[in-house]
Amino acid sequence: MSGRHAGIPMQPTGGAIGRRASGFAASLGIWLALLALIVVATLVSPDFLTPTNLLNIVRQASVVGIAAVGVTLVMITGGVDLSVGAVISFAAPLAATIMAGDDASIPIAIAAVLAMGLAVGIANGTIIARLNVPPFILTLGTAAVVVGITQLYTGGAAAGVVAPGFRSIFNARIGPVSVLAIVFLMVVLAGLVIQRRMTLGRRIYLVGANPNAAFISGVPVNRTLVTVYAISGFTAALGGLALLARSGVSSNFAGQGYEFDVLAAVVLGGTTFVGGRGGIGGTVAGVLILVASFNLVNILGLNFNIQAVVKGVIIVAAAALYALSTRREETA
Amino acid sequence: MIASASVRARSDALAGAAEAVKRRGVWVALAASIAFGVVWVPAFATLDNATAVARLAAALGIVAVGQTFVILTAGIDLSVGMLMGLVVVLANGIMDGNPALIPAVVALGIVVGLGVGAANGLLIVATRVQPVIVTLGMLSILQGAIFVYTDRTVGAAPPEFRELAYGSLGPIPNAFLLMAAVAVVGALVLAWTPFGRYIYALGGDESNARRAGIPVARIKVGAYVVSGLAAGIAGILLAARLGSGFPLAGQGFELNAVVAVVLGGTALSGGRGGVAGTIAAVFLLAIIGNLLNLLGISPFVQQLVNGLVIVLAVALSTAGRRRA
Repeated sequence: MSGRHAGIPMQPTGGAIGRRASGFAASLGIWLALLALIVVATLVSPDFLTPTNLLNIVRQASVVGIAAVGVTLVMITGGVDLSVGAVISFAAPLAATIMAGDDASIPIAIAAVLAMGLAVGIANGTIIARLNVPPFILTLGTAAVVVGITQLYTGGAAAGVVAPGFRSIFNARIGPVSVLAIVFLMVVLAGLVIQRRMTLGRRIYLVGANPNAAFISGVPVNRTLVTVYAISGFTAALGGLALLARSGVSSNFAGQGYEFDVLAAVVLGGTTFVGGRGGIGGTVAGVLILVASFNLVNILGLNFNIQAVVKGVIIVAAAALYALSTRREETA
Repeated sequence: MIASASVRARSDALAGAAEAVKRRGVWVALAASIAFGVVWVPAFATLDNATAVARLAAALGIVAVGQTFVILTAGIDLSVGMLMGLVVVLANGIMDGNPALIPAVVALGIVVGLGVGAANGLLIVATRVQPVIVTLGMLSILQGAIFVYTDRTVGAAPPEFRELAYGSLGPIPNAFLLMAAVAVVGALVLAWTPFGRYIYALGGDESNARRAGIPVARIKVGAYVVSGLAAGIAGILLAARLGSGFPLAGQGFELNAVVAVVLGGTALSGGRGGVAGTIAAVFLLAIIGNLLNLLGISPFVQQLVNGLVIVLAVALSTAGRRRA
């Protein structure tokens, strides 16, 4: 990875404007890819481009999408958060046991789950910032810790009962749009405001582009890192609540594997492991590409397991296109 | 990744000292856990228990040796777990109790491993996509392939094949011998061949290595081929141990292998570390799990302890290069 650093001269020196422009170009490419996918899908299946199906896609995208907003901010700082799957998993039994079937306990349950996500995120961020450890391994470790806590908390079996009101609130429709989709959009908007309009957003890019330079120029690097991991824990917990609202039943492993889907969506959207570039706009397109292609596999009646193959091919192909296009820029 | 940027700016002397501490760290922890077991846990220091630990650790040890090669080049291979799983379902599904097919499925496992490893390496070199993404994509593709082949446990291993995992040569389990052979060959390749030296050079500084005339692309592909081969061999061993083709048999091996390599002192940024530390870390993890089992601690607490060990180890291993 160090060689890569040395090989990309434009990266640390891009400046805010250049970065935003190149980020826009990258994110334009991914939206074009989404458009191409929609055109192809419409041609192969008349059921794809229907209002019902499109709204369905947005609803299905909500879990990965919500969690991916936080992970995008983390990855712009040059980090990664692999603990989101474990946090999504823990959300279900934690909320369901607090609710215990009672509508009156819904607010407490939601607050507890969000607090849990924040706590995991703050722990991740603090250790990463203070001890300067590789986020990849550290968040794997905290994921194992959270899974262990989940198992201890529930005694190993699915626990708790989801209150009937919980499902009806999140799955209610305002006009044709489900509340889940609206929550997803609001999280995206909030993330975009942080990324574009707030000091925190600029600091995130600076830390990702060059942590030493950011530190020397007075950016509170450690506080910025703790904040982005806290946001990532928070959005993962919210994603866990969205998943629980969709499934309606408590389970200990509902979030297993979500960290990979989230990671794939973020990287598809143009936010790389190197840090310092990318953004939430591209991530939304990445999420929609992933979910739309799963949806297409379903509509075409292909073997459900083909989804995994399609996902893998799309991840590699999109990342390759992105890498090849940036290489051309460099040589030009 | 932030670590790699700022660490590089610091002096090499400090890094050298930190590395020495880290190297010793895993061995000290291993010795301490063994001493704890011998003194405090009666059932620990028995031949039966030692055999069981060695047998269980072998598959992870083999796949972690391959992972060490890849991480030394500053890469990573997340596809190895599902690759092992694919070999497990193919081997047991195809044999289905017929011992005559043993040579065929062993050859198949090795060929599948080599093929997937080569595909990973060629994709990484040709597209310049980060290894973590390419191998994550491959993980997904292999998972799909497994489930297209079967969505339930299939086939059976003939007793002759299960000897690979459960037989022993004198007091030493075959599985351990296989792992030891892989580890020794791996260590010798890294220490004594140009390929091994180039792997360290590549992970140390890729552009310098390129300028020095090292065939970077070929060495990289080679590292992923080694990783795929190791995963293929580990898959064959796992197939023999499990005795049937469980689709998710390999799940989690990729992450445990990465954890073992890093605990063993090989830096994720490449260029430093080696096979010996990896094997020590594999046994450290296996012995901690074994001690918790013998002490009758619930598997849930074990999971928790496992996570805490990772957090603690990664925190300690980087303590020497804290940002000022």
